[in-house]
Amino acid sequence: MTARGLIAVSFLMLAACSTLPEQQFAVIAAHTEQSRAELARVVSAAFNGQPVTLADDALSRESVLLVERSTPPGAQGRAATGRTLGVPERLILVLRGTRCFLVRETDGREWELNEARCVPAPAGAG
Amino acid sequence: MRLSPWHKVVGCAVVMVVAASVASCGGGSDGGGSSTTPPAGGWVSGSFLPASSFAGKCVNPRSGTNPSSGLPYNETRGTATDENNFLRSWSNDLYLWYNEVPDRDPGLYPTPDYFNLLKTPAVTDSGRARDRFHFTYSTAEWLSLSQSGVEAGYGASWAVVSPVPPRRIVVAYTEPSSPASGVLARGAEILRVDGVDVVSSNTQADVNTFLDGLYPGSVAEQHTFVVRDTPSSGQRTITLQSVSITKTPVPLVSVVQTTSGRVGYLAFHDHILTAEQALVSAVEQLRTGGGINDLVLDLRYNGGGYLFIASQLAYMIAGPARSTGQTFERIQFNDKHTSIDPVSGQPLTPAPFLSTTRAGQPLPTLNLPRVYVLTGGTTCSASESIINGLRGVGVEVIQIGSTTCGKPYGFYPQDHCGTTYFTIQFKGVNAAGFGDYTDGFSPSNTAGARGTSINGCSVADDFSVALGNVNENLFETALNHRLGASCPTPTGSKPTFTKPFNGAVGEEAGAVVLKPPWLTNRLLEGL
Repeated sequence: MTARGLIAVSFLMLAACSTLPEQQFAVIAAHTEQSRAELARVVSAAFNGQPVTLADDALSRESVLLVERSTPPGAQGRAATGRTLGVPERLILVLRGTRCFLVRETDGREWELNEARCVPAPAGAG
Repeated sequence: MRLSPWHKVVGCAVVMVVAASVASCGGGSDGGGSSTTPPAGGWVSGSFLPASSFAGKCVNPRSGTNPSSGLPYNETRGTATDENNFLRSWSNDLYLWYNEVPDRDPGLYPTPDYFNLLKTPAVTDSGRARDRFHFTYSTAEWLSLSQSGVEAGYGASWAVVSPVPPRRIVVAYTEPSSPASGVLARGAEILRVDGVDVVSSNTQADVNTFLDGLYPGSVAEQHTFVVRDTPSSGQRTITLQSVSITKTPVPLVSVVQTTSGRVGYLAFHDHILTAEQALVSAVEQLRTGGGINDLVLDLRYNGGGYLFIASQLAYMIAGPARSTGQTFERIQFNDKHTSIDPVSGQPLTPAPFLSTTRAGQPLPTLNLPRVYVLTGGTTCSASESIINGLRGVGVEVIQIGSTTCGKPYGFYPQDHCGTTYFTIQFKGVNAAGFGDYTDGFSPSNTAGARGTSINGCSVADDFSVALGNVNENLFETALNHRLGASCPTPTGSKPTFTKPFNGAVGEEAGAVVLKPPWLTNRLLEGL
């Protein structure tokens, strides 16, 4: 596990050490228009309001959402992203009791999803 | 899955340490600073204040929250000269060839024009501009994000075989389960888009129309295409609606049994995040059934991306015996910054061949002493790093295809006053210290101008046969070459391919079509 992963898990566990129910990695069982819109809003909020494009089935097969810079139009866009030194941002979906949260791996900040129906992630989907 | 007790224990212990480390990170260059003499009231040639002296002085200062930092903008009303002075000092500090830039009065130019002058006028051995990667984006556009591998489109990647009339645009490949899959096949030619003649039209309005149709900017766009599936077939009309496409970075993996052993074929299109696990799975597949004797790595449509993925793949090909302790790529800034990355503030340490995934999973290895690489003009940047990194540790690379794009360079984007600037700041060199492939890598029998010569055969892309088919020209040539056959007559000298938002156009064609950059910008041919 990476250091960033440990940070995220640590924050999750710190939260779990309190009175909160046990939590698990989760996926979204069945997207609706409302759940897609909410997810787009939340992910954008996690990046200070930057616009973000998501797949229609985002977080429905795995509990980790990888977010990266869009390749802008034009050859310049490819040039700009052709040698990327950084590492990606990851958001992790967790189920805490019946409540569903999206957790930003870098700092553990979390956002609750109210429209999505979350279920425990199948083995290997984390 | 449930979080393990181990995570609970280790997590609680580690979080504080890492948080402290993050808090202690910092640094970065102040920019400029080679002179302490302020330009009192005007420009003094050769005298540079730190870029920070001019930072945030904008013709149109922004207010509100900066989405890249979450902090309020700190900008005040300034002039175009202020913005130019920032760019001048910033370039003097960080531009790789800063000492080749003619120093010009920042008070005499609009900012876009001034930035365009802040680069080296030098040319390469082949006569191309040394710096072909100098450009800007609006910051709002640059900051947009996406789920890894997701973009609006039909799932078809277009190849611009001829960018000028008689123009020829064909399908290079399609994504599985996409609107284009099953409707368009590799090699199908696009004749009309939304009523506009793609082959012969040459007005700006027409070009805009067919480009907007080929490259939808959002989902739920509907466009009509007249296509010809093969050169001898009739025309047909189709309508495609754009959706969110999830790209498949590693679409094909197979093993060919030959009289001299098993040959693996691996098509790798994008260094995106989802490629990491896909490449691991692909290499594990190649290792089954006794492994392989040779690998044909198809990078012809791979424009680059995350460098750590390039390092991982190079490790999986070379194996630990050849790569452990070796440098995959070492970043070099200009001579003002020889030990510390001036932007990140981190020490400049060589990037190794990575032997694990980001999650710590050991990578499978093929342990090959050589690799066949299929290339085209789109083969660029991180893809070229694979070639260069392997050559640096003595793995023989045999190149089949066309000259690669030639981009051993990189940069940190710089936002200033709402524009994000890209100027070359570093280059990557391999374990042998080599990184000067500005003219690309070329198969050794390439006719005419060529880049860094690599043993192999110059072969044009073959759109008549599916990728991965042993009869496809590049793959077939590789298979024949390993059996001792000589190269066919060289045909692959010019970049001929593009996919969405890539700029593969012939060198001589760059100035003809006016929009957008991937069809027009000479500095980006071959991407």
